[in-house]
Amino acid sequence: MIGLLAATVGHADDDHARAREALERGEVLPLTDILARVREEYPGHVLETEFDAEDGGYRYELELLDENGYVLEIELDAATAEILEVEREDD
Amino acid sequence: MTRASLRLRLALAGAIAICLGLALAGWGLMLLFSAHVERRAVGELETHLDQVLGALAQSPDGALTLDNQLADPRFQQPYGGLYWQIETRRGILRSRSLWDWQLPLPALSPTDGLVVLDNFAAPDGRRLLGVERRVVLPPSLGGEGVTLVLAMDRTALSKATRAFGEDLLPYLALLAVALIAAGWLQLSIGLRPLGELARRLTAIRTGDASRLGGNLPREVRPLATDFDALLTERETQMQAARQRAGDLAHGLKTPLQALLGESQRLRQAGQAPIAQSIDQIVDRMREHVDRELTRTRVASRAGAAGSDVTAVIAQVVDVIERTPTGARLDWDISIAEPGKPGPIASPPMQAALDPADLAEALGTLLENAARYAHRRVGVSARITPTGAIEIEARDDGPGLPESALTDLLDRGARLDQQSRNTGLGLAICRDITEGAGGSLMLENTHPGLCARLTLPAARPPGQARRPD
Repeated sequence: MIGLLAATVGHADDDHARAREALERGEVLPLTDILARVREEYPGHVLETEFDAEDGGYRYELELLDENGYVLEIELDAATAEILEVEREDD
Repeated sequence: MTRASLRLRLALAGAIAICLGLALAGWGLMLLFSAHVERRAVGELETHLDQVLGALAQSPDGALTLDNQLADPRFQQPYGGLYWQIETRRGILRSRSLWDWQLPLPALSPTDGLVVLDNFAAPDGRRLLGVERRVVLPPSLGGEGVTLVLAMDRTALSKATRAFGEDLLPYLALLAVALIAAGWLQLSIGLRPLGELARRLTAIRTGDASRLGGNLPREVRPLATDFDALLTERETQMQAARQRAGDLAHGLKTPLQALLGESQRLRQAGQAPIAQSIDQIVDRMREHVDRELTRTRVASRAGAAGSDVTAVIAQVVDVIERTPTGARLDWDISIAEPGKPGPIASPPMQAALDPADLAEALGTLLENAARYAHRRVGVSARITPTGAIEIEARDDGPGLPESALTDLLDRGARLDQQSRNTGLGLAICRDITEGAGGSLMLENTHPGLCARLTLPAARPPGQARRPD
């Protein structure tokens, strides 16, 4: 956990500013919609959120602690809230 | 109103008052706790506000920025629950936790000081608690006026209040139970003297006591005193009335005797039918007079008297068995002494009237039974569930015509002329019984007649009433 928190601090300083600008331009969905989409399929507790520009669009990368104690990495399209990739350690 | 309902009413009212009071107290405590939690939260927000203000720096391009990260990780986590926002001339600075959201804020002036913003919306739809402050920065930071806002999620606060309420509930419930129990105890102790009053009233009704007496709580003592005075008055009146009835009956005896003398003179004067008629009328009047005299005599002697029922029955049967009518019969005597199965020897059956009166009543009853019985007469005695003494005489004779039964029981009239003795006998028996406060029942049992004598049991002073 401590490592994760440290990682949280180590993100790019202005990603939330870029997220707001993109939202104001109408290029992405609000984070509430993204989180609602994730909660539908992976109920849990969000540890870290990253926002990156990629392939001409924006991606959300979430780290999530699910109810079974697994830490998941979920990548979503910020414009559609479509889940692109889920990384989870196999049993 | 009975004692039980009075107690129930008081207990119910008390319980309702206690529950209402405790509910009110619980609600008040929740409010206090909620206010306290909120005050603490506002204090915490002020600390954060000072920290944000202290971290403000100017970047090389002249824009305001924070020169170091704030300690609380919630500022970094998008929608993390703790937010800051600064409005400057050149734009709005926001904590990372606000992410793509911007707090909608009222405009302030520097003199407004610290303003608490209650209940405004958070990015994820929850409610926020915030503090807002307008400050003027030093020249090194541009010397401009900026507005700072620190806000936190209210969910944690309401959760704490709810948890406090849940912790409080069992204690309030326990307190309610304890208070209700204490109230009940208080009622029981407070109302106990009323129970004593009720017991004494019952004792008066059953004849175990004659007065309520003293040694009662001050609140009911006047009532008891008045009640006792009323009892005394009634008793005096009853005695006076009985005395007057007796005097009246006695006073009629001589005139009746004189009337018989007059009818005799009529007969001598050749007016035999008229004389016969007058004689009959005098006879009937005499019956009434005798009846009243018997009642008065029996009642005046019954007060403190007690007769051993078993002994009197044995004595009466013994006498009748020696007569020609009695000797030809089987006598079946069964006495159900009370408490036979129990280990404690019970006192003999005592009826509350003079032994001579009981002997006379039983004598007429059993003579009558013996006269009409074919083969046998049964005599039984027992104590009824209500504590009275019941004596039954059964014969196997022809019984009585129904009209005669009604006549005798309803009006006390003698039976028809032919069985005049029988009628008179049963009437005397009934007069004695009623004088002693009992009753006589006649019933055709086909075959035979059953005469049932119910008498009050004698209770020597100081002796507890027999259990029923």
